[in-house]
This record gives sequence, C-alpha cells and structure tokens, in this order.
Amino acid sequence: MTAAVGPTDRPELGTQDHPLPPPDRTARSSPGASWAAFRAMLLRDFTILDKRLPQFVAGTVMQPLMLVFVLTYLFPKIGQAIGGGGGASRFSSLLMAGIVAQTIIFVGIFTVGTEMVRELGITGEMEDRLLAPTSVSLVAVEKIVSGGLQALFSAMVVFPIGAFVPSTPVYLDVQPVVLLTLTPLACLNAAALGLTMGSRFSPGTASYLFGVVALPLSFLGAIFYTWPSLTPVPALKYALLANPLVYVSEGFRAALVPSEPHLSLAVVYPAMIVSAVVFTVLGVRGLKQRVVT
Amino acid sequence: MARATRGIRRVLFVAALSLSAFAVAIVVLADDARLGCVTDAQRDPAYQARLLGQIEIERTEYEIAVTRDGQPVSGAKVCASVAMVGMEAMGVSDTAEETAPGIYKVAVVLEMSGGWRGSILITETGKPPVSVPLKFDVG
Amino acid sequence: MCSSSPFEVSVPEPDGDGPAPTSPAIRTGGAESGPAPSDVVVTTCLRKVYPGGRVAVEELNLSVRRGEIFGLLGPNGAGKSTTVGMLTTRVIPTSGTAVVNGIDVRAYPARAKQAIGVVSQANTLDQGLNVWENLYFHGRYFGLGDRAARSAADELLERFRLADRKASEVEDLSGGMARRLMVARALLHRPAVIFLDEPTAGLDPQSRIALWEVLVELQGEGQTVLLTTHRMEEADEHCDRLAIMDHGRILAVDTPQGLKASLGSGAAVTARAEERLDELAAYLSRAAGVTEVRVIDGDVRFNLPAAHGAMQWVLAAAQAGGFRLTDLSVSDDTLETVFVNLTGQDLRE
Repeated sequence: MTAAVGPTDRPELGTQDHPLPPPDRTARSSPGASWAAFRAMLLRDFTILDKRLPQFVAGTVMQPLMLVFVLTYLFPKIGQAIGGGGGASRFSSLLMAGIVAQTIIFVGIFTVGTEMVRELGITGEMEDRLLAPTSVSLVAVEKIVSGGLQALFSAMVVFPIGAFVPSTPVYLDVQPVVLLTLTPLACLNAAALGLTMGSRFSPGTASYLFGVVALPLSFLGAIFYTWPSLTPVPALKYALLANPLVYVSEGFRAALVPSEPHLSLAVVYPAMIVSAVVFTVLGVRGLKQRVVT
Repeated sequence: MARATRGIRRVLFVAALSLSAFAVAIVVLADDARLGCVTDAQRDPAYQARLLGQIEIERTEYEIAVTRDGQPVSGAKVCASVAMVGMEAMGVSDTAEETAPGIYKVAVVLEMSGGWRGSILITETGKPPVSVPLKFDVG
Repeated sequence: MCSSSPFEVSVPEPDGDGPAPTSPAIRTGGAESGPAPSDVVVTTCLRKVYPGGRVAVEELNLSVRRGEIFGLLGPNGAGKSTTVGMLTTRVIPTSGTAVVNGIDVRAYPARAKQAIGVVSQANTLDQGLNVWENLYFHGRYFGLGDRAARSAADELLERFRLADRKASEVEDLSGGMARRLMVARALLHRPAVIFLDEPTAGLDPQSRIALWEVLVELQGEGQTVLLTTHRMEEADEHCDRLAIMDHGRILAVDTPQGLKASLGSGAAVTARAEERLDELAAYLSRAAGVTEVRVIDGDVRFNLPAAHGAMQWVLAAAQAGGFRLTDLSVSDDTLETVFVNLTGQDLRE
C-alpha cells in the first residue's frame, strides 16, 4: 500500500500491543448474569439521569409546587374559598395526599413512557441491553424499577413543599406502616402503567395518549376532593373506580389523614396489587412483542 | 476522565438531600390533631365550650372558650365539627389553634342561616378525647 | 420435510480435508460434509414464516467453522438478516434449531447471548452515553465488574483508535467511527462469534477498507465472524467461505474460489436482439461449450468457457445464423456470474 493522503478516520492497526484474548466460552449461569445485567442497567439509567439532573428535578418539582402554592398558599391568603366549608387547613391536608399520589403517577408514567417510546423508536438504542445475557422480560422489569425509583423521589419532594409553602397549617397524622407499604406499590403501578403505554403504542399514538389521558386522569383522580364526597354525583363516583389514581389518592389519605372519610384500605390495597400485576404483565409482553419478531 | 460510577454522584446527593427534606417535613407536618373531629368521644360534663362573639354568615373564624370545671383549658388539641340540622353529610370541621389561654381560634364559614348542630372535640395530653355538644342558630 | 443433510453443491471431487479446520488462507473447495462438533454456528432446518404467511427463511442448514470469516451473500430480501436475527435471539424461528458455541439459541437465549456479539446495520449506540460509557456499560451488562469493564473499555478504545474521542457524544461520530465503535462494543465480552449485518453499508470507501482490515485482523487472532452482505467484490476478497442466499434458501456454500470454479464457468455473455430470442437461444445452445442458456428480460444469457475471444465468437456465430444483435456484453468470471447462474437473475441492488 502506498502512503496515501487519507482521512484520519483510518486506524493503523498495531495489534502486537493489543492482542485480542481468545473467546471466552464459559456460559455463565443465568441468574447471576441476570442480576449483574439488572444492576448495570439501573446504573446506566441513573448515569443518564445524572447528566440531566437539573431538568429532571425542575420538571418533577414544578407541578406539585404550583398546585400547593396556588391552592394552599395563595387562595387562603386572598380569601378565595375552596374546599367547601371544611376550612382551608383541612382542605390543604386532604390535598397533600392527592398531590403525592398525582406526582407519583405522573412521574412514573412520563419517565418510563417517554423513554420507551424514544428507545423503541427510530434509534434502536435498546439493542445493547436486549443483547445482554438475560431475558427481555428483565429489561422491561428494570425499566419499571427505574421509573418507580424516580417516582419515589418525586413523592418525597412533595412533603417539604407541603410543609413550608402553605399559608394555613397542614396537619398530617402519618401512619408509617401504610405509608411505607403504599408508596412503593403506587410507584410500581405508575411505572408499569408507563411501560404499558410506551411499549404497546406507536410513538405517535403514545404521545397523543400521554396528552389525552394524563389530564383527565389527574383531574378525575380524587386529588382535589375525596372519593366518598362524590355522593351527589353517583354515576361519576362509581365510574371513577376505573381510575388507578383514585386508589392511590385515597390510599395516601389513609396514610396521612386517616380520620377523614376515604375509600377503605381493604379496597385500595387489593386494587393496587391487581393493577400492578396486570400492567406489569401487559408492559413486559408489550416490550417483547416490539423487540422480538 | 469519563464519568462512570462516579457519574451518579449528583443523583445520590440529590436523593440524600430529598430524603432528609422528607424526614424533616414529616416531623413538621405530623400532628396528632384529629381532622374532621369524627371520632366518638365521651361526654364529660366537667368540660364546657362556648363560641365567642356574634355567630353570623360573614364571619370566617370563631373563637371557642374551653373550660374544665370553670377553669380555662390550655394546651389541648381542639377541633370543631358542625353541620346544619338535617344536613349532617355536608358538615364542616376544622382544627383550632390556641391564641390565648383557653381560647382557641378556628377557621370555619357558616354559609347558611338556620339551625346548626355539632360538637367541640377536646383532647388534653394524656387524657382521652372529650366531646362537648354545640347547638346554635345563624341569623 | 426438511432434510438435515446439506444442500447440493456440484463440485468435482472432495478433498481429503473433510471438515477439520485448517488455516483459512489455504482452504480450497471441498465437499460440504455436514457440521463438525467444533463448528461455532450450526443451524438445522431453520425456518421462519412471518404472520401472514411470508416465508422468509426456508430449511436453512448452515455451519460456520471456528476462526473463519463466513459470508452470507444475497440480495435484499433474501433472508440474510432474518437468519442472523434467528441466530442472535432477535427473531424466533418457526421451526428448526440454531446452535451457537454449543448452546441452543432457541432454548437458552440468555446463555447464548454470552457467546454472541452483534453489529447491526443501523446505529444502535446508546445516545444518552458517551463513547467510553457505551463500552463500559456493555461490559457491565455482560457481568464484568467495574474495574474489568473500565480496563476493557480503555483497551478497546486504544485498539480501535477511538481513544481521543472517549468523551464525545456518540451523535458526533462519523459513520465509520460509529461502526468501529459498534464493532469494538460487540467484541468487548469476547464472544465466540460476532455477527455483522451489512457492515460496510453506508460507509465511504476509506472506512470500508478500514473496517475490513479490522475484521481480517480479528480473524487472524482466531475470532469467528459471520457477516451478511450484498457486495460481491468484498465477499469475494475477504470471506473464507460464502453461502449464497436467495428467497430464503441457501443455494450454494463454498469458498469464493470454489464457487467460481464449480458454478461460474468462464465468461457470462449477455446478447440482446430485437426478435426471435428463443430461436437465438436454441441456436447458440447447440454450440459446444455454451452452457446455462437463458432468456431473461429481452436478453439471451449464457456462459462460455473463457472470456478471451468470446465477443468475436458470439458475433460471428450470430451472423452465421442470420441473427442481428443489438447489444452484446461479456463479463469476467466473478461471483456475480455465480449468482446469476444460480438464481437466473441479476443481483437486485
């Protein structure tokens, strides 16, 4: 080969210094390999989150901050009546539960959903993870866990907001056991829901879905009001039992303001467990269908 | 040097920060006051509770004078729960804050004139909750 | 009913070599005598039918020997990518078996993936991570610890001359560099075989040459490579053995020389006439040395033993028979000829 003026793109290969070792033929046991892959994928997700941390924090904090600010600081300050005759303090306390629930659901659905739409779309970025020595199901489950953790973070952030922003006192009668069992369940639900929406629908449909579904889900999710108080509109009341956010909101009311009338935990827990299982299965299957033909 | 595992340093820091903020918030927010005043409590004739001042539609807050055996009760948790006669499902309730020894202020708006009924729930530390019935008319 | 004995290849006589792997460079055509235990990739009656009935791959029997560069050659739609998909767990076979490094890919996909490295045609680098991180996390996915993954990533960046771009975002890489990075990534966990789907597609000539240098060098170190391509010249030059595929079937497998020797005989002639094509075809086929006569698309095609003097001969023969040719072309002995002979059609670009 004559020395040609070529682009710097061409590597000169001096393999004496860097010989490739012989192929490693031991097939590692599947569970060990799966656990290692799972941890690595989580690490990857959080490395990427770290790069976009300011955006993530701002985006996560904004919605609860605005809701709490307007409804529990501004309204009482300007004498704007809200929450019926129950008093601003009571309303604020009830609202807290609703806002925690809504934040979890939102963050779970959006982070997982939009990631799925993106990664399964044009870029095909998922491929390296799909070729990892583990099952596709595990990749889907990792997404749920990762999204759930982000939802958890967002839920934690709501409390300081609720403690320091409102202008009327907020009283929470925290039930630790309920709170600690309910929160992961809610986060799981949210992420599984996001996975299902993101993997089963084409990018265009999914984006549309997020827009059209998210708003009604929130406003009809018993955030600003409790479910039992909907007695004057019985048709709506029972229709809303189809909204997963209602169970999460009422569940958090049981965890934070148990003396208020709320949907019984005997209904909330089973509903949330069932919905978590259903959406996880649907989401995992959805991913499998999209990536393996 | 590329950021690898060091690459989640900021995430870990923010996570730790929010966990502590959460813990602080819980402490600040936690309060034994029973919202809604819906517990069953015994009556104790030693306790008295009285709404001070004019009871009218435009008022947004009321003061309650709480006494036991004629003496002002201080440092108790007090909440008021009232409803129009015949419309108990649409009652209002809220927690009261002590503004002076034995005087508790509660934010409550009585929206309609007519007969009202309810109770004041008083919980002194170390004692079981006590309910004092209330009955008044809004002019 | 699928027979797992290999497809028919007309070869003069078998060598004494048999299936034992020898140095790739001196491999000559030999009878395909079925898979050997040392073969890295073995498929048996592999078949894929997509929902709706489209048969993408049919009765595929393939074996790839350790340390060779094996090419799947064929036009778009031949089923090459589907075959690779079935070998790399991305496509589930309808029937048949695929075994990589002794592991049944259908039954144990997770384990099989340990032995497989894949370089897709599209850019599948992780956009959220930089160059170094793409390698590092690949290592972590495959069970390497933090330290091992770091050193593997650094090592491969050095080797593939990407070290100065280690902190770049992958979007900023040129096509050639991105492809190189994908090759590096696929090798990081030291798979028994790497699969490349159209590795030179979309690359400029310099990058193509560079990539082939890498692949040949890898092979020199004992790496087994299976690639798909529709670029005959590249396959001819670099592959130890080739399988020619079309319409989901393997039509022939041999070394490039072997294929040309047995199936591409001499020159391929294309003669065009305005009329009486079938008469012309019949007339020419009576001549000695004329083989594989076909009429396709207004041309009469056939083979002659040699390209030298072919044009004059055809012209003279046509004239003698009273035919008027409007066009005439003679092509040398190439894989293209082999392909055309096997399938009866041009390679569809």
